[in-house]
Amino acid sequence: MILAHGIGGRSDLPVPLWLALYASAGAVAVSFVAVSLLWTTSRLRGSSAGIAVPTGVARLVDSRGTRLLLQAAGLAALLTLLGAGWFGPDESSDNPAPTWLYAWFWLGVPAASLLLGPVYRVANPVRTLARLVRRDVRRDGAPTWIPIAGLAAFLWLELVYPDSDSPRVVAVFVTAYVLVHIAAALRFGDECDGFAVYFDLVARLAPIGRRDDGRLVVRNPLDGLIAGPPPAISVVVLLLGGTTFDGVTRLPFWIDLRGGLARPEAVALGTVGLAATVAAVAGGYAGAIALTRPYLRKGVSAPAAAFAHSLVPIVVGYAVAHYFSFAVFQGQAGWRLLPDLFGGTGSRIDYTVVSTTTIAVVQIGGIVAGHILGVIAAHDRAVDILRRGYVKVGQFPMLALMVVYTMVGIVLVSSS
Amino acid sequence: MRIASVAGACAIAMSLVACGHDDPGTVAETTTNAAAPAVVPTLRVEGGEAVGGVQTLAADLGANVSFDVVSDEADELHIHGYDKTVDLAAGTPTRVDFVADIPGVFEIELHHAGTEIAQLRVGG
Repeated sequence: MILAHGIGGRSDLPVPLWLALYASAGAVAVSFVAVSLLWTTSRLRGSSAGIAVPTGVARLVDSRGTRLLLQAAGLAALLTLLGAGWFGPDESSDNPAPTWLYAWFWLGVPAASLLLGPVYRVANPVRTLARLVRRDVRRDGAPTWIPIAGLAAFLWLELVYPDSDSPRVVAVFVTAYVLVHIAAALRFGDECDGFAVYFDLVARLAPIGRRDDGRLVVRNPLDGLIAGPPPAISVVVLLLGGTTFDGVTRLPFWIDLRGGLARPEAVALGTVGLAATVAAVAGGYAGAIALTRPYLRKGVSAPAAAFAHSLVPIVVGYAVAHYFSFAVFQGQAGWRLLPDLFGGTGSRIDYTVVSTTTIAVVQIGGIVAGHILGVIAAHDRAVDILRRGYVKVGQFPMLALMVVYTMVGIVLVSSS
Repeated sequence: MRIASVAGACAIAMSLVACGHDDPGTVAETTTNAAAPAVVPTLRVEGGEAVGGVQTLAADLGANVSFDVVSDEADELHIHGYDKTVDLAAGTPTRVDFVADIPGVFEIELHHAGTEIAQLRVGG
């Protein structure tokens, strides 16, 4: 992301064309293999799968001490961010607070969730604070529009609002978010928190999870993906649309379009662009589901929800492709700017820690890996809910949609 | 400082290999200071906006980047990533000159106007 003048300001070179072409061809080939050659009855077992970790490890992870430590860390991180945001210098080049929000929190917590599972469910300071107010906060059953509104507000701030990098703006947003969501949690339950919903989605892909007998297990990320209730498709589509829009804003045509616009017009253009991108992503999904509908078995009533989980790896792949270098480079400002908070001078970001070739490989690797996991997850669901005799043809709409999402992702990173 | 030492190593190694370049297929352009490009591009700024839209400046990694900036108002030019700031006096061309030792795409913007006037693309 490129945020006003203090943050970002560096974007990646286009991925070399040959790499983009090989990756695209590979993704298409994998898709056909998945449809034609993979298993014909559902293999994934979701929350009943997994190999239990040693009891000692499980006891340590589930111990009261670990929980208290994570909760304390979450609260301390929130208070530090708010302190720096409200009282530190009001320039993102002298204050690490914006970097903490946009790089450490928004990108770092998903990375941690991808490796370790739903750690944020415990560390989430909103959750902790709500429980300090009242002990019995509901865990589920919140209306979906609340997390969607919260995530949409954040994406708008990050990708559209011109002063999104201002430490004061960050402080206002985080303060408002926390207060509103404590109130929402007390009224509707934990699932109001959009950040928590997103991080939980990513955590499904972690190699570690909880089996339905309560044991902590090491498991196939694809089993984790279908463990628990189906994710809200609107959240998935919003996240995918947001990242896509961030890619669009780096294309030369967008830079030309935006250059020369006064502030209100630039905000309007960005708002419309973000909404249109999310709408396009959603429209594609709705179209693919509509085309899949005739091939469904009797009794399958909600195909949109049935395939929602299969887009989660694509969301994660997109995020890796777009934000890997930003996290690695801008993330350094989170500690390099610490001296500036107290009137000193921090050190400069080291742009040599990863090479441009590594970045290109990670970008393409993220998109293709997300595509492959998504296609396999969708295949496993399809063989379970499509009518016999139509299993192959019935998979084509979702498959075509995934190929389109993947191509768009590759085009965005190869033509910026 | 690490950045400075890397830049120095690049300048020395430049005539031999592409420094920081992982693709063995391409050979670095051999540029010397004497053979600096004859025509130096000029970025013109009027009313805080780049004339003709956001411009693109391309450079090979390790090459010398040189351009002039003319603004009708005094401002401060900022090159991201390289963290260079250059004061611009109203109406006077200012020469910006440095070695492109960090690969990537970087915004060049005006601090007071808050606008992006060019992109610097340094090939890896």
